[in-house]
Amino acid sequence: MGRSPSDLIVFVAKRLVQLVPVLFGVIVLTFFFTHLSVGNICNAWYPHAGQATIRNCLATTNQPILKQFSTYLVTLLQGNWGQSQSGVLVYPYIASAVPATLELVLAALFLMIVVGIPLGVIAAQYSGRWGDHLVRVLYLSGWATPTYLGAVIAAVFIGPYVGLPNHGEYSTLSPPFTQYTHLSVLDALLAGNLPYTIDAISHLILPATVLAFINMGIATRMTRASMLEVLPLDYVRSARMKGLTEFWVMYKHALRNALITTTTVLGVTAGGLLAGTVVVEEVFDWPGIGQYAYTAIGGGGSVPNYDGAIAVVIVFAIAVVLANLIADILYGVLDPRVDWR
Amino acid sequence: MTEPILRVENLSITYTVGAGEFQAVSDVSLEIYPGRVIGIVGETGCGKSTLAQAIPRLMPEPPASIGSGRIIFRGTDLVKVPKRKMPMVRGTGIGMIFQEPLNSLNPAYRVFDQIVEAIQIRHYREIGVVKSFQGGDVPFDYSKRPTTTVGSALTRSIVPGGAAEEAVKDRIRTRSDYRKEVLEYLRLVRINDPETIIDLYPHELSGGMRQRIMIAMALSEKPSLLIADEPTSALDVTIQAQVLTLMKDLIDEVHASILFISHDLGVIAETADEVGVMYAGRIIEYGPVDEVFRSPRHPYTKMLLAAAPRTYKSDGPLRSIPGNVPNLSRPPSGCRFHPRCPIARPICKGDAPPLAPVDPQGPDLTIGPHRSACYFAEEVPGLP
Amino acid sequence: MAIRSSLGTFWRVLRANPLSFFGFLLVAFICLVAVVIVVAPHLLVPYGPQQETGAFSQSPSWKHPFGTDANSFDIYSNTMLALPLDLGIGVVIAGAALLAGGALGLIAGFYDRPGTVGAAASVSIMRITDIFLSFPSLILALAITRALGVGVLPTVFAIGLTWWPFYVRLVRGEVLAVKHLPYVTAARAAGVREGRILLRHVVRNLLEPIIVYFTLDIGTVLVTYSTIGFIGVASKYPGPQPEWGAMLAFYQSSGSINAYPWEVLAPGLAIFVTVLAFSLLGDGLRDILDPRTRRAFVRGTVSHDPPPERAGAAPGSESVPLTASGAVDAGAVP
Repeated sequence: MGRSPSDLIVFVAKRLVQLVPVLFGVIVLTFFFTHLSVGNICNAWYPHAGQATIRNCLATTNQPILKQFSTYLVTLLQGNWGQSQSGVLVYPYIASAVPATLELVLAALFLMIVVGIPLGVIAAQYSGRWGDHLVRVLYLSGWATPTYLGAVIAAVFIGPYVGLPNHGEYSTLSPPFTQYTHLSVLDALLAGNLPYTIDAISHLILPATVLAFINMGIATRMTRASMLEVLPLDYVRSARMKGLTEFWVMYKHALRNALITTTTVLGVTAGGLLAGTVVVEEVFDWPGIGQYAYTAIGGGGSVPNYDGAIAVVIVFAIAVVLANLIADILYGVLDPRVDWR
Repeated sequence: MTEPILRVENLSITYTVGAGEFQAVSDVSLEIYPGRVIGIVGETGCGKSTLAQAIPRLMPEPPASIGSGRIIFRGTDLVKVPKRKMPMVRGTGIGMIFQEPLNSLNPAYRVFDQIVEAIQIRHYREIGVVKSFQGGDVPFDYSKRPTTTVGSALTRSIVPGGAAEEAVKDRIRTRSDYRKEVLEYLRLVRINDPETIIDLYPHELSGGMRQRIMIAMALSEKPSLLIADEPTSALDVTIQAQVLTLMKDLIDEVHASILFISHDLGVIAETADEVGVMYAGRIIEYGPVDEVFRSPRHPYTKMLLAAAPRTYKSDGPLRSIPGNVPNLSRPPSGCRFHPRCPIARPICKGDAPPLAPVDPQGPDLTIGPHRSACYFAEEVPGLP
Repeated sequence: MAIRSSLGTFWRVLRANPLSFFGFLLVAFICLVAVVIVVAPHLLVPYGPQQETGAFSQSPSWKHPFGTDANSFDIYSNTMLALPLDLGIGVVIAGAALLAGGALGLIAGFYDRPGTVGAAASVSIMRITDIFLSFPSLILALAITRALGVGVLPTVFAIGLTWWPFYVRLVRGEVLAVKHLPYVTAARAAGVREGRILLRHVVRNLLEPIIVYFTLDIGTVLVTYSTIGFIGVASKYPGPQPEWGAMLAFYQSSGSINAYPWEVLAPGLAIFVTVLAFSLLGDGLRDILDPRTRRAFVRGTVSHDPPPERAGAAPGSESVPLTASGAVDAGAVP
């Protein structure tokens, strides 16, 4: 058995190496799928563009597709991810938008964990009874709510009613302190500015809750299923026989083991959360990648942006791959039976 | 005469499965006095494990439910205790060793964490940080337990752990205090290399080792009553013998009150003072181990002893009991053994025979006389 | 025979679980309504998609259950007319993904003997599947739709292109689980041909999980399509063929959302109820088919079954026979 810290480095390194072919595959797929156009690719992406744009576009797309791909790959690796029609560079913009999306997704993930997992435990504990049914209706409602519907209802109806802001990260455009991390709450905290911290948190609540509510079903469902698997096992009975109360039997002994399987759905959750940001960030005017994706795709009648769209697809796929990697590592850490070597 | 630690009176336990139901335990009574080891022996499906799990109310309710009877543990009827208060009785009041050592330890925690948790539960109850059980007529007081329990015997004489515990009695315990105490319990169960074992995970241990740790964990709570539910059955034969030797040594050392459940007559003969033989949910014979095994007074016991492999001599075929264990959803009327019994008469199909002394004129032994639930108990010694 | 016993299972689950029974009734009702709208729209839908009623921005009334919009279109009619499209898209995409992904999954699950052409194909299929599964489907589908050109058909095609990998993984997992079961090995040892084994044993075992997954998936596809509609890359609204996502986007951006909330709530409620119906049905069915929860579902045997092999668990350091573990007394449950 290898479970020493040095083995953990090997464990993580191995998985990082395994990522390389997947990431290459992601880029290949994205590139070729965005070239699928039935007619002229330039017309599909720039339907109302001026002659200059079309000419530029045709200059590259008239080359053989493999040549185009190799050119694209080289420039991508060089950090030159192209630009939008209005000349905004893709890479710097996305890089600056990452923290906002990260903050939103992490906040939603936090809510999913502190609410969704206990709900799964409750559902398993009362399996087949009304507590179970109630939890089930709750998470299936989230499941059945399209992100845009949840976002619009929260932003337009709930937000003003309960007095929570539904627009941006702060109430003012530029806060009076240096934004080191570009995570709104963390920056305000670092500046020691309490009013702005509260302001940032209140801006985060609605979009994060919408994202969490819609994606919570996966966490709850998985927790419930693995708890039902764990609860009949002998060690749960031993824990009960020690004299532990039901609370500790559930949360210290049963859930600790059920979490091992629940972490594996983290990757799936990441996909759902990221896809959700496209609509949630647009509705809540949250300056992240999701909003950028919305615009780059041509959402809401905006001018599509080929370079931006392809970059966003790749970035999202990389994020999902990384989330799966983290879930995989967490699994290895949580389950003492996994050998790290 | 001292009070029994546990007195089970006319206990019946029913399982409801779908539309049908069956009685896994019917009208069972038994008493356990301080320092005594009571064995329960019977075939698979006779209800002995259900009985063992029912005493600390550990069986799943539903589908199981206690139909009637009382479980009086140190003056309190556990049947009347609300389920949410039962944890206070478990561990320090009633400890249990299970059949499956492979799965009885939590795979996510190290040996140390699992035993320390048990020690802490007991410790907090002793110093009164956690509310002790107060139900019934006689409240539990964990600091003033009779000297015959596993707990105090350990503290006072046998285990040096008692000394370690005494030394830190008046200050807050540190992790190393706990570690010392855990190590002592590991040594108590004859683990050779406790310093290594203490930091391992259950999956890194063998089955025999895991069962030793389960025993250490149960003992570390110093229970008034220890229930051992087939503690050796799931182990390899050689390891079985080791664990059994350990159990026997511990029984001698700690003067424990133990309910020992097994399907193995040999194991019961070696460990128990008294034995109850169960068949189809009922105790059909009860008495001192030597007497019951030497001169059984119920045809079932007699045939069970004859069928046991260790009585097998090379001069004849291994015996078996004709017929099958009855289906408990439709048990036979009267004596449940009558369809398989060589000396059954019409009366056996009527009312169930009571568990009555086989020799009413005999001396009234303190440990209870030899009793049999057979109308023709006196004929049994004459059976082939 | 396989189908009949599966249906029997479903019926038992439905009876045992009131929520999924409710979902079942709701799904049946929604499908019926969709069929009526296609066959005889005038029975349920009083107005055409772009028919001017002459009543502008009206509140809900008996004549206009969800009111009218600024163009004097009847919102109820538009919402109802969107049902066959959204539901049909859900069924078509999930069905196509099932067929394509299922076939690939069967291949990938069945041909795994190392060194053969089949194994090489299996490995390639799984690698490609893994890469596809890295994308959030919505994002990839959006990009493909944009490349193909805005519209209903490109969107359907784009979602379909991103959807099949889920079925590859599902089917392959089931095949791998089934093919090493003792009775399948026995059938193989008895000389039954692989094709026959595939049909008789594997497909029979696949049926239940697939139907469950498919049921849930219809809802998920529907949500994805309408989200693309909301973003504005799929359907146009107002138009000859209304669609819920596009409808909601249109009314949300029309700026009168606080004055006329029903404009948004009508399509929103429609999609919520439709997806919830399929989710209730599928989620309840899944309980009995998921090996994790199946045992717990059959009440009364909960603590007396032998412990299952845990997924991902390394084998113990010692192989002590587990035979005694099932021999608890109450294991004699009839």
